[in-house]
Amino acid sequence: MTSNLTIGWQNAPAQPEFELPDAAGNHMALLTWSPPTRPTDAGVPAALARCLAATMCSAYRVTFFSHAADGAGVAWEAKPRLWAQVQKRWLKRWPLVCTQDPAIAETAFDEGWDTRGQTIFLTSPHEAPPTILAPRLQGDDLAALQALGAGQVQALVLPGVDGDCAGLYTSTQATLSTLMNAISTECQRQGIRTLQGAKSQEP
Amino acid sequence: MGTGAAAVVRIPVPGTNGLAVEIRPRGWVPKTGSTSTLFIQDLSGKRHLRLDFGYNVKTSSINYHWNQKGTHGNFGLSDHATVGRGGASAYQAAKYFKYLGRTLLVVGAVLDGVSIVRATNPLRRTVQVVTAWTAAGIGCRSVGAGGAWVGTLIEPGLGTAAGAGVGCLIGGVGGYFFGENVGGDVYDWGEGTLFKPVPETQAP
Repeated sequence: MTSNLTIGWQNAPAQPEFELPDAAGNHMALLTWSPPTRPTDAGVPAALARCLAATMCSAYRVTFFSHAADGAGVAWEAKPRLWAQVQKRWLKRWPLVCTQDPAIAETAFDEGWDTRGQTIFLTSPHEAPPTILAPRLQGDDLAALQALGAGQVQALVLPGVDGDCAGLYTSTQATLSTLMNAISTECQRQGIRTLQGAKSQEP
Repeated sequence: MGTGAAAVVRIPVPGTNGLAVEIRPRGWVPKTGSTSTLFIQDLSGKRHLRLDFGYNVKTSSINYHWNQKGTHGNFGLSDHATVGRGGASAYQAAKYFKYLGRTLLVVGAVLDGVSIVRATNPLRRTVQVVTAWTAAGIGCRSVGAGGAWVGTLIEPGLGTAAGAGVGCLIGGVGGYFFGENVGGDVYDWGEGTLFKPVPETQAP
């Protein structure tokens, strides 16, 4: 399957225009993409969302914010139901969903991604869902980076400007390299062109 | 109240299946706030057209542009479509009106509160104020909706927002004074009406 989509990797500090936080002692890579034609709607191209979800779920437990938590099957909510309802209604925060199902993980790119309200936490598949995460982390990049430094979280995926790029943050360079290679391999398998060390260019 | 209503009222855009003009986001935004100032969005914020300032991947430059999801069929605007000087002015106007409008609302509430306290007939004045605020909200919403409809015909997006804003202002101010008069008249009618007991009759 070929999608004509190109992704680019830059293993470098975030530039201000991409509206991604500084790595703050962690390691960071910038992921950009260029679809063959710019879609009318905002969002991550479906082929790339599939690829990222498949890669993340193959090696990690994927935790993100979702209003569909109640119907997410194997999904896990971080807070008791009543408190989750209060947070949803009054604090405008959504429950966390934890999954290893790529079909569920893919929805992370459809909820708050283009408005930069989403955060994806990657943790070990061999451990229980991360207890340090809470809905208050929603949209708080710095708190998310602190969670990364705390140990349970192995990697973070944050949306960049208008959701048109993504920042990958890890606490070690080895984890970052492994994750980048895994995404590149999966993307190539799905027919997505990959440019290492460069931003993808608009067609 | 009338002039500040647009800062808090959701002004519906007719024929768009639930979209409304607002100056605050409804979807998820970062803790640092949204870079957009003008929103035409549904209740969840998932379908939205928002006027944004920042890096535009389509032009590889920083500019004023629209971001949209699920509204292309309503306005014909694509994600990252750039806007000209009018868009920049609308962005700035919405940015400052978010605070100015709320300030006007607070000032209006204080003035109306004082007017109740100082009125010779506080109950009558209270009825006037309550009906005035209710009518201002309804006027802002309904005339604003009409303005949004007309504005969309002229220029989808910016015209929609401008029409909604002007309509809301007219409807809000007009509604306030109309409601104030109606409230006073209704109170006077109620106060001047005497209910007399009628003789009881036995049921057949």
